[in-house]
Amino acid sequence: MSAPTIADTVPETPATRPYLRLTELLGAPVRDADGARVGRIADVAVRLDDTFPPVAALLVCPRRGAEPVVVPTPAVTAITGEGAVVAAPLPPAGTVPDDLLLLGRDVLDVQVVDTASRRMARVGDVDLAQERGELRLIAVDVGWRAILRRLGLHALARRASRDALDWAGLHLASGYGHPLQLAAPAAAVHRLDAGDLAELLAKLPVARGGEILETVASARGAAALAAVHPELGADLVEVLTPERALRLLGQMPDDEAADALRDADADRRAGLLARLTPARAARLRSLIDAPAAPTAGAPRPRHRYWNVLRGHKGFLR
Amino acid sequence: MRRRTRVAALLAVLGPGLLAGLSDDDPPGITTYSILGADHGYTLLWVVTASTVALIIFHELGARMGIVTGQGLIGLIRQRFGVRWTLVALIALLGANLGTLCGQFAGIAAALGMAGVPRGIGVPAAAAAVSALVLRGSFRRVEHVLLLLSSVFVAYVVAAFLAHPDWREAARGLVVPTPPGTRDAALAAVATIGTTLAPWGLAFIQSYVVDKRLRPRDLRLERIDVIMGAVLTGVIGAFVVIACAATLNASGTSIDDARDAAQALEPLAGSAAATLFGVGLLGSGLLAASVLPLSTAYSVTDAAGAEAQLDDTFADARLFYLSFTTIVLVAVVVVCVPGAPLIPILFLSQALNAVLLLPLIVFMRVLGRDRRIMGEHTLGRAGSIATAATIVLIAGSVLTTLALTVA
Repeated sequence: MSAPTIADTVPETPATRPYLRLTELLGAPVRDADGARVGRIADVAVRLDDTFPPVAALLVCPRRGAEPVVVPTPAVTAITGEGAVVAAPLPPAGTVPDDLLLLGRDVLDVQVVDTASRRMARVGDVDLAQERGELRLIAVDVGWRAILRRLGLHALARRASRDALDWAGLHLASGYGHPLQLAAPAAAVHRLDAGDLAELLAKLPVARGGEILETVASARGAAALAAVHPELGADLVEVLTPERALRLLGQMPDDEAADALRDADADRRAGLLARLTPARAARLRSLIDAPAAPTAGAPRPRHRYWNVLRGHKGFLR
Repeated sequence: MRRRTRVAALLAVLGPGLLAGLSDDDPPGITTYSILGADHGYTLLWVVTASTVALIIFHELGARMGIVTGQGLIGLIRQRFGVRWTLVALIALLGANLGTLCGQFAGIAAALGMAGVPRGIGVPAAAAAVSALVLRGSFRRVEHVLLLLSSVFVAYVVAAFLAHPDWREAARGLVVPTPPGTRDAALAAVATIGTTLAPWGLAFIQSYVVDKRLRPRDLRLERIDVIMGAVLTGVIGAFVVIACAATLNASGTSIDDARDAAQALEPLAGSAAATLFGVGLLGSGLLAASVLPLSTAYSVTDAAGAEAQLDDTFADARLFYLSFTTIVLVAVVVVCVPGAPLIPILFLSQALNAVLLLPLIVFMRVLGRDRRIMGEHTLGRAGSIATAATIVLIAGSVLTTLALTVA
């Protein structure tokens, strides 16, 4: 059993719920200090500089169809389930800074991997709570309750249980937030050991896995590349830049490097081998030509139809 | 050496487009093409040509979206449009898939009926057999047999030649669009569109390229795969229409049951035509009835965001297995209703496909044009125009049919 997380310990009583849901904020009114309505919340932005990222700004839409304006949180005096209050007139519309993760755009309904449970899910809602004096992103709800509530089926939603995943252990599997998360030192992906990283690589599309291997420390990346199933390893070697692939292969023992190269595209393999020292390239070539060793237990990508057509272990078996 | 490498690369990519395209030559597809030829001769052959072009356009887009995003269609719709629009897309897809699965079981019932097996026994037994094969992981053992049985529909190509069709009329019908003037003609055109560009094929091809872990650099070869699959299914469809036009339409025979449809193979198979047709219906029906519930269950779990796979336990993937079982059971019950007309089920389910296809291809077009999702592979000007024209043409066909029905 893992230790209780923030998401686990948040009580779920509607009257006393101490967190805000993103979906109740999106579209909620924004008022000025006099109570006059100045727009609606179009999105909520966080900066990924902490394990539980603080809200950095609200995107406010002054009127339907207008470009949203970015209102930094120091200019927001209150954010509640009823909406937000801003201290000053709205600034003119401007571009959203590249380093902000927009929760509506980049997280809501996006696939995530929980690095603790190795579970893949899709975000049904995003929970924000006051922590250390700031409104922070603490968890996402991936259960039926969030979906049913958003569909307007409140009676059914009340009977469904909350299924929250702690933000600290999440990795965005798709969508626009992926590069931002890779760039954030506080992100979960940077705290995984090689084995967990290999499990994560097996869950993600190859292109996303390649982006991770381009980013993480090369020793850890090499160990993760060695730990995945050789089929996946070969795919990853193919999507990496040649320089990065050579760097990771350079930190792998000969047998593991040969495993990763064996199923790779012939041109890519030849290109990489040509850039190794002649002695190592010769050793790897002879290992690549030898029969592959059994790879039981190595994390391999999950398949749907492809496994059916190649023969899989069905659950009835 | 270089050339051999290119061939090997193509072979490695081949699959999604071929399978998704050729899966249209299933019992509902063959029946629809047969009715088109039997009732309308060569005049509506151009609908097969146009549907094949539409198939290439949207299967290419589906494959492209799968390669770029690594996600299935319904999952991507949820990411871009949220849960409410996902529900709309899912209802459309479920409706179309249920109709098409009913069509597969109706084809199996028709084939078994020709052998004297009552549908009340044959259809539940076939459903139990294919479900067990897929869920036990034994599908691969019979896959090649079913593919072989399905391939008998290639016999239509030979049968069409032996029936001495009016090739000039056939060539004219293929390229000169003659607007359908009656309700029946419009319905046949709509059903042809719906069977060629089947909604489940769109979800299937996108999931399958993700499965094969194809990458953007495979896109060029995947396009060849898509075009091969679409052209092959279009060619077979066109020859079914020509064979039926030259035999059934020439003799004034309408298709009321499977034996009527089988007559189009008589120039080739003589008295064995019914057997040949029945074998094809059975093989292709079983093949499609294996993959379609699987595709449906994946779409449902994608919408809910719950990951599932065939080797998961029931406790871990309850929604997946319940979706699989439910759609199979409902389709079996519909087809086993005493007196349920098999040919209308086979045909009208495909017309329903065309209606339910519309929201899905609109979603696909919006997704394909979204630069944040597709990056450098965003639909360009030509692709945007082609997809818009296809949507307008399909919507126009559906509305025309409705207008003619009401009038």
